[in-house]
Amino acid sequence: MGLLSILRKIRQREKEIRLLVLGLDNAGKTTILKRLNGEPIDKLSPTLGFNIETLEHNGYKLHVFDVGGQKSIRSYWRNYFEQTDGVIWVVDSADRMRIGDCSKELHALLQEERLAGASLLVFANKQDLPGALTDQEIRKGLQLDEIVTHHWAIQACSAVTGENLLVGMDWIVGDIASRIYLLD
Amino acid sequence: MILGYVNYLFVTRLEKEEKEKLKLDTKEAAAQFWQKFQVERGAITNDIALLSNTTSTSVITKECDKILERINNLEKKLTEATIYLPSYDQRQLSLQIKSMIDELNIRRTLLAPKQKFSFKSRKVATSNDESKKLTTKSESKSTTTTTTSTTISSSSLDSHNDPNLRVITLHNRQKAFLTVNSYLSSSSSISAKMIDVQLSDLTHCVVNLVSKRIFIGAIHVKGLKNSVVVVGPVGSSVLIHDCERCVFVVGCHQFRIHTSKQMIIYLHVTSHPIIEDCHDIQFAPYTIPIDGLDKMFEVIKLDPNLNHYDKVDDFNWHRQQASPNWKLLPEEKILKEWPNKLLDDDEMSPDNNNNNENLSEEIIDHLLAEILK
Repeated sequence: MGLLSILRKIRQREKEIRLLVLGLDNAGKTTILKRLNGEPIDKLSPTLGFNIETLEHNGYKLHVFDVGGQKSIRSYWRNYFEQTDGVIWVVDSADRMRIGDCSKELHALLQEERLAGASLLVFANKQDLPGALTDQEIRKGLQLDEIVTHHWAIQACSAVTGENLLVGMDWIVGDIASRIYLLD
Repeated sequence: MILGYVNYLFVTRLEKEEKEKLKLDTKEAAAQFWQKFQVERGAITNDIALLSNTTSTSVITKECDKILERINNLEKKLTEATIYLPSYDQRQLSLQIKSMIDELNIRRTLLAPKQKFSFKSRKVATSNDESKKLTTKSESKSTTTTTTSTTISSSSLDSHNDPNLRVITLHNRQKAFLTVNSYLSSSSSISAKMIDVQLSDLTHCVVNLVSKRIFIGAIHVKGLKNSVVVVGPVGSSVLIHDCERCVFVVGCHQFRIHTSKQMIIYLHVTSHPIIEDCHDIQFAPYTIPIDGLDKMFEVIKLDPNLNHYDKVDDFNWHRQQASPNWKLLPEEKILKEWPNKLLDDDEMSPDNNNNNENLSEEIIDHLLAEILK
C-alpha cells in the first residue's frame, strides 16, 4: 500500500460527513430528515430508537443519525457521539413552555467531550405554525450567544413546507467542509 | 485407499487450476479496466480540448460540470476496481484522473473567468467568516444569524408582530367553562385562520376548542387537573404534560402524553400515539358527534379513515407483553351521549358566562364520574 493510496483513502473518508440530529421530543427531527430525503412525512410516528439516512449534499456524503428525543431515551444519545462532525439541534418553535428545558438539554450536550469541535446548527422548526417563536426569540431562549466552544448558527425553517432546510444544511456542510479543507 | 489418494490428487489439481484461472481473471480484468479507462479518458480530454470560448460562459460552465461528473464517475469506477487492480495501475490511473481535473480547471478558468470570480468571492467570504469566528466569536455569530434569518422573516413577518394574535393561552383558571369562540369574541384582535393553543394550570375546567371559524395548528398542555378538553382535528401535534384525572377529546397527526395519570383520551391519530412516565391512561376512538367534522378533517389534511388510537407506544415499557400503563377504554364506558354544551360552538355572550360556569361543574362531575367508575 503506497503513500498515495493511503492519502486517497483519507480523502475518500473526508468526503463523508457524519451528522447527529438531536432535540426534545416533538421537535420535528424525523420530519426534517424525511423531508430532506424526499420521503412522505404525514404519517410519522414518534421515534422509538433511531433512523439513519444517507444523503448527498454538495458533493458530500452525509450520514445523518436521527435519535429519538423522548426523555426516557435521551440517555442513549451519547452512544452516537463518536466521530460526529456536526450536530443539528431541532427546536419546536411553538413549544413556548419547554424552551427552558430545551436550553438546558442543549447546553448539557455541548459539554460533551466527544462533540468538541462539532459544528452546531439550530433549526428553529415549525415556522409554519401560527404560534412559532422567531429565530431571534429562540436564540435568546436557548442562550445561544453564550456558546463559545462551537461554531454555531440558527436557521428558522419548516419541515412541513420544506422552507429553509437547505439553507441550514448548506451552512453546516460548508462549515464542516471548511475544516476538512484545512487538511488538504 | 488408492482410489482415495487419486481422488485427493484430482481435487488438489482442480483447486490449483481454479486458482490459476482466478489469477488470470484478475489480470485480464485489470487489463480490461485499464483499456476501458483509457478510452473514457481519451474522450474526456478530447472534450476538454474542444471547449472553446466561442460559446457563452454559461454554456461552458454547464459543459464543465458535465465533464466533471464524468471524471467523478470514472474515479468511482476506479475505486470499485481497486479490489483487483495492481497497485501500480491504481497509482497511475488516479494520477491521470488528477491531471484531468487539473486540466479541466485550467480550461474553465480560462474560458469562463466569471465562474472563477464567483467561486473565488464565495471562498473569500467563507474564509473571512471563518477568521471572524475564530477571533471575535459573537460578531461572526450575529452575521450568520442575521443572514440566515433575513431569508425567512419576509414570509412570516406579520405572524410574529404580536404573538397574542396567533396563540390562545389559557392559564391558571379554576372552575371555568372556557370556549374558543368566547375567547375569539372577547379579543377581537385575532384575525388569523389558524391558531396555536396553550393550556396550563387549569383545575376543574371544561375547555371547548371546537370551532368552525378557526383551526388549531398545535396544542401544548401542562398541569391540568379534573378537567375536560374537547378539540376538533388539529393541524400538527398535541403534547400533554403533568395532567391528572382529565378527559381529552382530540384528533391530530401526532400525540404525546408525559407524566400524567388517570386520563381518558378520545383520540384520532394517524401515527402511533406515545405515553411516557404515565399510569392509568385509557384510549378510545374519536367518536364525538361534532357538526361538520368531515370538512374539518379535510381542511387540516388529516386522514379520517386512518386511526391508530389503539397502537400506543409506551416509552417505559420495552417488552413483548402489553404495557400495564395504558389500556383501551372498555366499550361500555365509551360515552355515547355527549352533553350538548360540550359540542356547542355557538358564540357565547359575555353575560352568559356565569351560567356556563355553573353548568360546567355539572358536566365535569358527570364526565369525571365516568373516569372514576
